[in-house]
Amino acid sequence: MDAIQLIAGLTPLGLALGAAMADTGVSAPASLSTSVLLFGASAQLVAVSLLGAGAGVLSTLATITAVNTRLFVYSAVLRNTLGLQPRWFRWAGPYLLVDPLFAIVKVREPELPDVESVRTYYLVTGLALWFAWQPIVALGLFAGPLLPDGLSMEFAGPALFLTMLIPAIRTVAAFTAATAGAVTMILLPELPAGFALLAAGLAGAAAASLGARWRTLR
Amino acid sequence: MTEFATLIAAGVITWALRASFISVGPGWQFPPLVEELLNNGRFAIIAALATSAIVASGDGSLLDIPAAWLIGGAVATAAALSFRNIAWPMVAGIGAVWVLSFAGL
Repeated sequence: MDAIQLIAGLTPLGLALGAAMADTGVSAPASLSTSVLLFGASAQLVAVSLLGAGAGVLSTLATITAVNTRLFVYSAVLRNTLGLQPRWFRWAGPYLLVDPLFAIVKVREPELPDVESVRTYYLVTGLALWFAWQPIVALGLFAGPLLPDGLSMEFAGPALFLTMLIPAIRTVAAFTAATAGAVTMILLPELPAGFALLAAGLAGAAAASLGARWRTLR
Repeated sequence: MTEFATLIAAGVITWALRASFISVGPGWQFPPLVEELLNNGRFAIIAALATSAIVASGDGSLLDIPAAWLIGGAVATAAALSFRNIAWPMVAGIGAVWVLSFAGL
């Protein structure tokens, strides 16, 4: 059920991504290969945009690394949950780790009774997302440019992040972290995207921790 | 050919970032403060992703964000609070942006 809802939510984003990649001038096979090789909307768009603009190999790789640094944080957060899995899973499973899967696994984690249930949930949801993502992006790539201007799918990205974030905020610390992260992002528009995200993550986490200590002292 | 080689290298880097801590497996712990920062930092990162996408809709300034996007964001947030699932808030938010865009906002 979660996978179906996630796919429904990701569909506009995938269509928008495909349509945006069609505008870059990069060949369709190269654009489509990013869905397999990178499997993540922001990294895919950045990669194809940079290649389309004629950026060098090193600058492209550095930018994609910066954009994907949040995956490093996700991996650290999930290490207790997924680190207990068998070795094959610990090496292959992370390939499926994307923003919505991370968010939903953190929401469902308390309800999953054991290691096997976590593995099954992660794999079923992650593979469903992967198999749905490929044709959705392809459809966007080929049909997206035909959509009228008014039916833009660009709002799908922020809408998806908002709908993942809001239900997950259940504590004052989470609210404080989210607010501080958003404010930091607004205050640091000049930083490269990946570094700004890391700064926002650090600022949000620090604000939440300081707030918790302040409430304890009171 | 260089295009595909670059994309393959980017894929390897992306997988390495994803697998970094998970592949190490159990048996070691962060200090409690780092643990606390990691747990709270994830909310900040997702909020920052949403914020950057919304701010980027204008010319990078808060004042340039289209009104339809601001209202669409509010509608998506309200729907997320009401339904606590993913599909309906997405439909409500994007639908609101479409309607308002057609209305000229």
